Amino acid sequence: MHDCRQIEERLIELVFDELAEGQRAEMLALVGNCPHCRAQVESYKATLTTFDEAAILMLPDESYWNGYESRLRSRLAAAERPHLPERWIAIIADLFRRPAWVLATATLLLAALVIWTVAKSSPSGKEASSLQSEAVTVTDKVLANIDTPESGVAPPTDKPKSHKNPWRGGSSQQAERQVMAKAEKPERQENLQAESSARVTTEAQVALMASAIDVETIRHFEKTQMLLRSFRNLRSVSDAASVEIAQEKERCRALLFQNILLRREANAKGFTPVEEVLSNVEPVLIDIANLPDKAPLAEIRAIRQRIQKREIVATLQVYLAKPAVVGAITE
Amino acid sequence: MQASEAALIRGAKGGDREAFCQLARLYERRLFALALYYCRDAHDAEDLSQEVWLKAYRAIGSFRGESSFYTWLRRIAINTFLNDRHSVGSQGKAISSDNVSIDEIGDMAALNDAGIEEVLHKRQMVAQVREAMAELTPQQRLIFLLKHEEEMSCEEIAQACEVSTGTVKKALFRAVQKIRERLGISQKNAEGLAVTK
Repeated sequence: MHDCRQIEERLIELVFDELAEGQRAEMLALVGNCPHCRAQVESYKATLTTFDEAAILMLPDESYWNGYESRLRSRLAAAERPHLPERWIAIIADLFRRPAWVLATATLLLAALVIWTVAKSSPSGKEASSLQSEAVTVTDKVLANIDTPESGVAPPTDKPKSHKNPWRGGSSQQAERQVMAKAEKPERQENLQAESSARVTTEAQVALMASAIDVETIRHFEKTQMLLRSFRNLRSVSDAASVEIAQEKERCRALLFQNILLRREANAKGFTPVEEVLSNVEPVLIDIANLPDKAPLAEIRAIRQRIQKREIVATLQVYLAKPAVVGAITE
Repeated sequence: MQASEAALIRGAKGGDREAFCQLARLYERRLFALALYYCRDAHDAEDLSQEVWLKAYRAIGSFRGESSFYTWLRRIAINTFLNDRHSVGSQGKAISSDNVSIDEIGDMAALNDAGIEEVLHKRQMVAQVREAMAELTPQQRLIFLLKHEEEMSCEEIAQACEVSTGTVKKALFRAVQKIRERLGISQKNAEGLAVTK
């Protein structure tokens, strides 16, 4: 006699016709010999039938579609690109609709930009100007990232839109590191004025990031990053086709729960950058939590690739590196 | 039909808005239905489905014809649905059967000729299905709809939603179980295809 619980999930595959021919025949034979499994299959089919009946009733009647089409036409007409002044007005109006801290940060960064412009006009060394421009590039990226998440339209590609970390504009982390490395060079003594303006700009950026996330979220990022790193480093013992990951799964479930809570909190506060990072992490946590205790290497490899493709570990690192950046600046 | 669709796509790619509207007419009902089952609210569904059309309109120039137009459109729809904050926010928005008014039911063409008892029964059934869908997470809901309504394979869904096939199968299993539970369909009375109604 088979164990009904063991094949419970596979019954759904049978109902949705997801099994290969051989597996299907095998499953049908199992179901045929077990009244409990047969009843399960019938109940699933009845569920889908009832859903279909209700689904048809939910649809609007014929008269709805004329209105729908005319509203769609209006939206398409309105979607034509507005003129430049209108776009600027829209951007400024949008800025004022955002929370006060966004406005404050934008003002701070604008002030930093003005200081930088003034400093640039005074004579300074080649390196100082390069340092400044990099710092401003980082700042611009941070500013741009605040504006972009909501305003962007899905790229018109066949590939699903990947979740991008708003803080990580490709080389922003690298640029930040370069700024730090250059700031530590002894030659900076010669360009105090230029460095001071760059520092203001970088500090503004760090302040922006610091204001964005609370301690609990940082801790969560830290734990998640550690888990993902250990998952990334999982290796099969003695060339087995599967790896024991019961411990990682356990940790992952706890993190997943916390991730959902923090994501909702970020959503409620309207803090899009953190929410997007958490949204990016969540599917991976779900994938790991859903793996069997002895996970097939192929599945692990697929998840690793997703982690790598979405640059999740590096994204989390940007947040975790923040205190160090602050420390380095204030030294 | 196929040729006229190709002509409409060519026209839309050339910036002809009218051609795009004609193209939208071919698929608007299917897309709206998907959005409606996902949002459980007709107004939200209209908003969401039209957002998809808007994105498709802006992106039509990049449609290379490597897949069918609807497959391409569905990709945009899946991305839009997954990024739709409204549906995530309304996850906890339970819809009680009281929220479905008799007027609303009266608007449903299929119910017009039915007797009052049948109307009430259908009203209850629609409310139960809406409640069941509300209990699913957005991801479970979308996976269930892509499988059941769009008849995509688990692998296609996994690729489109950027999750593993295992996650898709698990989500599907949980979704059907939750809907079954909410509809009050037990294994016992399902035996012999008897459905609790």
